[in-house]
Amino acid sequence: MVWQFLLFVWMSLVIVAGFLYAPLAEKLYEMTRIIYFHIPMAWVAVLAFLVSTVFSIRYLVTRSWVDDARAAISAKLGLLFAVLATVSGAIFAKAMWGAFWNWDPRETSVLLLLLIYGAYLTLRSAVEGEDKRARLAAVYNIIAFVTVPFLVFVVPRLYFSLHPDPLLNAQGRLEMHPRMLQVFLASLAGFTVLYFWIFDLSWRVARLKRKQEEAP
Amino acid sequence: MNTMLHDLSRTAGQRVIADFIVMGVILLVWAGVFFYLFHLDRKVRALMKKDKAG
Repeated sequence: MVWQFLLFVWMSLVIVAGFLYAPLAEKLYEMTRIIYFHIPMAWVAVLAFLVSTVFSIRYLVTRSWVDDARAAISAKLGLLFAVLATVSGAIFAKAMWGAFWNWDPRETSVLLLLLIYGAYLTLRSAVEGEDKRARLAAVYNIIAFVTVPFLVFVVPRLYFSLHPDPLLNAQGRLEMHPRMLQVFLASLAGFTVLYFWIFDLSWRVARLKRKQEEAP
Repeated sequence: MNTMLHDLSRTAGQRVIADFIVMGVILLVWAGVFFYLFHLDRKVRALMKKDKAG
């Protein structure tokens, strides 16, 4: 319980620091602040998809419903954070480029990612039979994750993009004001803890539901 | 109307006020999300306790 309130204070401080402590980046002006929310959301989405894949691989080994349920929970959270990253990116696009959607390589690749994981959830709800559903979903999920590094890290770098340089630019340098970096890393840590909290909470709810269903 | 945020024609005062409004809204959203999750967490803990006892 204490750590939850620490997280609340931590993230509140990140929000305040993003506005009052960190300087504005050149050319981004007030939209600089989106860095502290948009990138951590995208990071959590990738992390959640990775965790989901790990549980899918585990499912194929153990054939336990626990691993299947955890894989599904993490994929749903990944999709949620990917949607949030897309929405915050669209707000940035409107402010900087004049339109919410520009079919920029990064926007297009994230849309593909949303469709791929949306299909994963559709597959889960379309297949009847717990074992069959879990097996098919696990295999699909593993294949789906293969596309993540390409869609998130490779494709947007292959084509001309309006998107600002990522944190680590093409030269592998980390170009950010020290204060901005402090707030950014603090936000990254906060969002990661938030993800694990929601993941754990969702897992406990799923376990309770399962117990209720199995109860005579 | 130019809606671009990097429109520097806005006065410094207007930009500072806008900053505080956006910060306030984000803080409110975060507080809402946090207390909803906190409430849910407590509820689930109570249910699990009840389930164990039963």
